[in-house]
Amino acid sequence: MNYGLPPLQDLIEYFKKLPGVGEKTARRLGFAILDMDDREVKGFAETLLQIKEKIGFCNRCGNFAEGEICGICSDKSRLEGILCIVERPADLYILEASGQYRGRYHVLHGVLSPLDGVGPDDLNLEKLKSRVDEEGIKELLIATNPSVEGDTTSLYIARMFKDRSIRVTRPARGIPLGSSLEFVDKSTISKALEKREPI
Amino acid sequence: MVIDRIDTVCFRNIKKASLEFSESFNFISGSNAQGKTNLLEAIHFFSLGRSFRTRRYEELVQFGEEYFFLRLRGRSDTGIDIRLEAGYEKGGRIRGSVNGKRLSGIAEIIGIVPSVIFTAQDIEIASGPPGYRRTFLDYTAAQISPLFLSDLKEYRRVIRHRNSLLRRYAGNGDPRGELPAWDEMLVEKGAAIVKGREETLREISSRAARLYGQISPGAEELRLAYSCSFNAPGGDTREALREALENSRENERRRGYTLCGPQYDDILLTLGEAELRKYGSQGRRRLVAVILKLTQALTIMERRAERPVVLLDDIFSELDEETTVRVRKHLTDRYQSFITSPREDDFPEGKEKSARFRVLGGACERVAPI
Ligand SMILES: Nc1ncnc2c1ncn2[C@@H]1O[C@H](COP(=O)(O)OP(=O)(O)OP(=O)(O)O)[C@@H](O)[C@H]1O
Ligand SMILES: [Mg+2]
Ligand SMILES: [Zn+2]
Repeated sequence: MNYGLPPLQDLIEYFKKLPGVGEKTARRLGFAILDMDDREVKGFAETLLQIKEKIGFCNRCGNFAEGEICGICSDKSRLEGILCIVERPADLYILEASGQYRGRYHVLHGVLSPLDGVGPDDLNLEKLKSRVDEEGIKELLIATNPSVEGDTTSLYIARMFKDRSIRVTRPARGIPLGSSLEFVDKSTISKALEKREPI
Repeated sequence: MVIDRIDTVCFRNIKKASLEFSESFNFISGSNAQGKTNLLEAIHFFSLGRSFRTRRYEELVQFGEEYFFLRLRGRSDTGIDIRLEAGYEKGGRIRGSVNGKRLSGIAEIIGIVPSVIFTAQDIEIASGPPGYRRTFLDYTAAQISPLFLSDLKEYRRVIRHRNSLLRRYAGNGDPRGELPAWDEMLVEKGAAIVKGREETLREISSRAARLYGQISPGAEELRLAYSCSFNAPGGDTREALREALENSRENERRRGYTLCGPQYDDILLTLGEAELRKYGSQGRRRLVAVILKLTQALTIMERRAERPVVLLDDIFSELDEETTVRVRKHLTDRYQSFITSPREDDFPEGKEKSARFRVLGGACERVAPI
């Protein structure tokens, strides 16, 4: 649709880049911004700019962090000796919300996918190796999504540590087949974590 | 499911048709190239949300036109009225609706009108390369277990990933040590495929043998056996697949794709002691292919709440008269069927409820019983 208002059209195009936002929602959001008072819009815009400036990745685990190290890595009350491996930071927040897991995390930023040209070098794996040594890790809980790629990645990681006395586990398959963590409810996640299985 | 009526607009060479069907036999006759198969294609369209002949919707639009439209009215076995619509405009997306409710994707229509279709190509199940038999078995397995379908999709994805890896490192080994993980995955999913296929075959083989015995009484026994490309009968599937991968490692690296797994398996069809593909007569092969399709229909009926519609495109051309009569008898009272033939006298008037249609240059009309 064309309103003869190029700036509004641009804004709508940007909103459409967000997940789950189609033309209709983007238009509604665009008009909502026009309705906001100036101060609020300014605050919104500045927050958007700052979020990219201030938030980067944690040097240790790959989670989002304001500064070098994220809140979870610097939280002293976390269980030592175990790491939960996830594909993306978003997965980490879902597991956190379940409240079941009290250890720290490691974010891969992807999964093995030769068809997309993603190999081990593209994942946050070197850092994982050094962490296992430095932090005295005894168990790796691999919570990649139960897809072909996620499963294969977990097998790959299990093989990386097969000559070490490290327990490598995977959440029990309480998680519906082929679904991604994002669409699974909290209690399912809790149960799957509780009943994890060795690979 | 019973289809009461079909309306089509600009579908293939059928400019416009509105036909009311019998809930039992529907005989469609007409000379070659008049539109009989096109009409079956239109009816069958609602089973898959696409044609059984092509994946390209443009091909279905009548030459010189911009769109096609199809509507089906029918009743489910539980007595619910069903109205399905599908439409496509060149350059656009296929759209569909169920009882007036627009579908977000046409694939959602799958399952509403379960069907089994026998087309000219299906003789290949009995006489063609193994791929046709695998497709037949996989389709049947998917009807029995939805889990099989997701396993199959996952297995194919593993193969595609693995092939891309083999191609990328052609001849240069596996510098990052990725292959073993993909091998393990292939073994896992491959074993699931073999298990699903073997279970399905166990379920359908006695059914197929019984049906063959009914339609060809006194003939040799029909047997179906799974023929695994990498495992001997009774052996451990995972072990065997692991070993096969080990043995073909060098070859795979040189050739750049996966050389073992259930994608090379077959079903061995035998009549008595003789392998059908090698020794079967033309008529026998056609009959066995038809029997396998009808076994699929029986299996759907057994496993699903909805009775399938049976569509048979010109199956009688090579069958003798007694066989034809028995096939008809089998269909009676079991299914709603749609049967085409270029010869009108293939369909002598029977006792059962039936409707006749004649197709001429894309014009379809219901005709009085002869
Ligand atoms: N998109 C289309 N638009 C118009 N005509 C088409 C289209 N696609 C195919 N046809 C025509 O439909 C005719 C074939 O129809 P069909 O395959 O249904 O024949 P048939 O009656 O089954 O014949 P046979 O007995 O030989 O199998 C051909 O003449 C072909 O040119
Ligand atoms: Mg035809
Ligand atoms: Zn961190």
